[in-house]
Amino acid sequence: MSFQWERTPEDALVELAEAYVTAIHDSIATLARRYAPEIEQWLKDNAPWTDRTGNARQTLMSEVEELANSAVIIILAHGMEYGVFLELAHGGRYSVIMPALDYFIPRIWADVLELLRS
Amino acid sequence: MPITGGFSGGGENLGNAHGTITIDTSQAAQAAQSMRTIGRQMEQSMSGLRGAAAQAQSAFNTVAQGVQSLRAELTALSLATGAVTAFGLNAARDLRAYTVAFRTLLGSQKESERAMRTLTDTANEFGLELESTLQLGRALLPILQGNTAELENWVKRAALLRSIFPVAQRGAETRAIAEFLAGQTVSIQRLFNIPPELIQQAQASFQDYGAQLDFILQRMGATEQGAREMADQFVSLTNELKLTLAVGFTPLFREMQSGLRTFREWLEQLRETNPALLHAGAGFTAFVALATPALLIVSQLIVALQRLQAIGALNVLGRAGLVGAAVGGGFLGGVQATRFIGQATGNEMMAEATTESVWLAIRRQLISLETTLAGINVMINTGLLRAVQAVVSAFNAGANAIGRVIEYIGSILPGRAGERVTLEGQALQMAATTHQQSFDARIEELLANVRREEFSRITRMTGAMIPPSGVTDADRSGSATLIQAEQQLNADRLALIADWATAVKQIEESAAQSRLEATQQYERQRADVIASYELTIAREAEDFARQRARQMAQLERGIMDVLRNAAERRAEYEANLAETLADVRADTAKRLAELEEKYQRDRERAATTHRENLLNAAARLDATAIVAEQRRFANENRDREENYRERVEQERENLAERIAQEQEAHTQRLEDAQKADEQRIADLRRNLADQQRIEDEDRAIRLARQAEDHTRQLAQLDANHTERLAQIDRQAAQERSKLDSAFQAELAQLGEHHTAWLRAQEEHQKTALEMFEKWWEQLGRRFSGGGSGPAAGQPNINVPQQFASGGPVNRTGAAIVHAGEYVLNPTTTRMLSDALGGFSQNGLVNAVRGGRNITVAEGAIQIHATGNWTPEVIGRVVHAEFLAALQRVAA
Repeated sequence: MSFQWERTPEDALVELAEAYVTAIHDSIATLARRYAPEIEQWLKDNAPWTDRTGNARQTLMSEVEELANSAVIIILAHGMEYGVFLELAHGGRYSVIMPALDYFIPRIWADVLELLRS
Repeated sequence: MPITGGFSGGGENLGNAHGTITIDTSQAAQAAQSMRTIGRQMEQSMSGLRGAAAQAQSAFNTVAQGVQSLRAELTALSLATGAVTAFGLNAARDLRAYTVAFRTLLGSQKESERAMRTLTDTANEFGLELESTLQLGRALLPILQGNTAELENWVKRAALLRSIFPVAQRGAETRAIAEFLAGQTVSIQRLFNIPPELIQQAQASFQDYGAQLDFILQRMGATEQGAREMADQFVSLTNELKLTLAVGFTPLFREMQSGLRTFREWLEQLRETNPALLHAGAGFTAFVALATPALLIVSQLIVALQRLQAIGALNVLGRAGLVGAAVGGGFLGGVQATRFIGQATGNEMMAEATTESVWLAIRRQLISLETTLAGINVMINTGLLRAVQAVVSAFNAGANAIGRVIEYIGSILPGRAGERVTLEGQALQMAATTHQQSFDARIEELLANVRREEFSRITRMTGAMIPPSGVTDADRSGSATLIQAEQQLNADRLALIADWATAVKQIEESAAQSRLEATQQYERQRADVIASYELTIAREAEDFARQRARQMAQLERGIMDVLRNAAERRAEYEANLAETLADVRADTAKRLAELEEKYQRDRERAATTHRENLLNAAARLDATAIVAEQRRFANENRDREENYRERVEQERENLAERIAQEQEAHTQRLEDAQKADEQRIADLRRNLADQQRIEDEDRAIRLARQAEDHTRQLAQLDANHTERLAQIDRQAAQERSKLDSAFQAELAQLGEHHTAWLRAQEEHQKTALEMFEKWWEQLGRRFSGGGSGPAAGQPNINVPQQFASGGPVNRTGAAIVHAGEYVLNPTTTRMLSDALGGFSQNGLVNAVRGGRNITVAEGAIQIHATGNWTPEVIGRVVHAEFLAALQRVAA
């Protein structure tokens, strides 16, 4: 009989699946790391308050955290303790985190979909 | 892989304000796990498929011929209905596609059908092609945002556009409008000869595309009335016919889709077993996708089968077949050639081949091959006959549907023409049903006969090619009974081999099934273990995160308590300071008031005294005294004023100093309190950090142990599974060995000596001879007196005693006696021994000869006979003397 597996489906599928998952995770992590500095710059550029000391604007930050093969998290944060008041007080007049989320989530998700399609 | 965003922060503590964008990739990991499971299942499935594939190298000739024989019937039906079938199925497919597209755009099936009906009516009214009109509607709906009423206007514009240039290609108007809407004006210019200046003028005058086109159409003289009059009624009829066929074929289309999907999957599996089946699989896939006339598919199938037949011939033979061919070739070319082949290949059997052995080899090969091929052919024939049945059934269903459509068309046609069409439709339906029934019966008959025919074919071929062994032509020609008996024997052999092959297959199937079940159970257990472990880990992580959050909240509450206490203390300090300062200021003010009062009082008193002194001096007219008094009074005032100011200044300085002291003390208290608070906060943080560090260490150990336990559990599962598979293999091997032994024995009873059986018999004989040789050697040693008993592990053989030289018998048992010997019984022997004082052959002979000493025992009484006393006399005398002596002793 001429038919014979060069590699068994079990081996090939498992390796391919694991490689695929790792590739997805790594790609998304790379994408997130690419976005993080852009988000941070956007936060600093679009913070709506008037600087007094400049600390609040300068300590705005964005970082990427990875949970092993389960999630990639982009963190947007204030560095000053009164950042929460900026976000929540005055009806969110001086908020910058929430607008950043609204701005970036669709873009990131579109990129993720494009990444998966490619 | 969802993406989520969120914001958190605030509360009673300040904390951090932050947001997160989380892209969950865990589903991909779960997918990987699923893929892993699927991979194992595929592996298990493919193991069975490989078995099937190994059998799939069958002779397809019979199948191909069977399909060829069906070709004529398929041709008759397909030629009549193939074009209409394709037309109807294509229309059904297009209708379904547009229905789905419109439903997606409009949101409901009802709206979709209404829009399509409107488009169809308008297209028929103006003689536009239905398909292109639907395509235009499909392109317009997103632009019009679901405004179906506007669709009708656009279809009218398309009709007006066609009326400008009626000889344009069918569907050109809708394509041109679709391009126009997309900003392209090439088609509308070239296909309908619209001047570009007019188009530019329209675009400059109107923003709306509809208004632009209306402007162009109006300038070109197109009218609705004219478009209606120019409508192509043939196109309208075609539209209705196509729609009718589409509706009529929709159920068939759906049935074929579901049925053929299964059929396609079956073909895909079969295709994987042999690349040559790609043609057949591709043909059928094309049939499913494009509704290609099935005759073409059957032709493709036949071509593929023929190709398989050509390719599969050598593969079918395989290694065993090549050996058989070599042996067979050896026979044809002479036994010597076979020997040469055997010598060259190192095959002893072939090297020592004789005519009989070559015939035996050929017979075995053919029987083995034919038995295997019988099962394969049954399987392949069954599968392909079912496949052909599915194709033909689809045709019959198509013919039936066409008959219904024709009947329907006949029912809406007026007059006798309609009746004739109706009858034609009914006749077609009846023909399709009859054909299906007869075809089904024929297929079932073919399937039922497949196994019997295969077995019969083997019998015929074997009987024709293998003359009975041990029977010469002369014998055969002279004895019909012997020939009949030999034929019966061959049939018995074939039946025995077939039973053996079936039993082997059952053993293998049972073992494979057991392996599959064991593996499935193993997979379930492994999945459960992994899921349980992952659940435990996830819960542990969740608990840990909750604990950490609680600790952080507690820390923040502690810090807040410290800060709140600090604020309260600061307020208290401030109040105390204010109170102290007020007291100090009040004291100072009081003293200043007293100084002021005393100053004023002294001043008034001095002024009074001064006035009196002046009056006295004036009364005396003492100018000198007046001057002196004035001078004194001025000096006194100056001194008092200075004194007063100094004391006021002193009070103020004292006050300022007190205030400074109090404030300094207050500042110091605040600093001390702040340092203490900072220390408390630092202690809180450090304590929490220490606690968390210990918890982290404990958690790391706990997680490591859990991971080790999990790994150990998985390893145990793997080991159990491996052991189970090995156990199944052992059991299958034992069953197979037992079956082979029984098979060899039964073959031997029929006179068919399997080589392995002969070899086994030789081994048995050799072993028996060796055991006999050992036994005989042991026996010989016993007879020759060698050895004191049986050796360890040898049988305990009781060798009979022999007394060729005489002697005492010390134990009861068999003995070998010799001719001429005389055996005494124990009583006589004892008496002789008593009489002779011991028993020996020489002593007995001497005693009988007389004059010899008789020794009763060494050192005992000696009797000396004298005279001519015979031994009997001596014995009686001695007996009497002994008896008397004994009586004396007893007395």
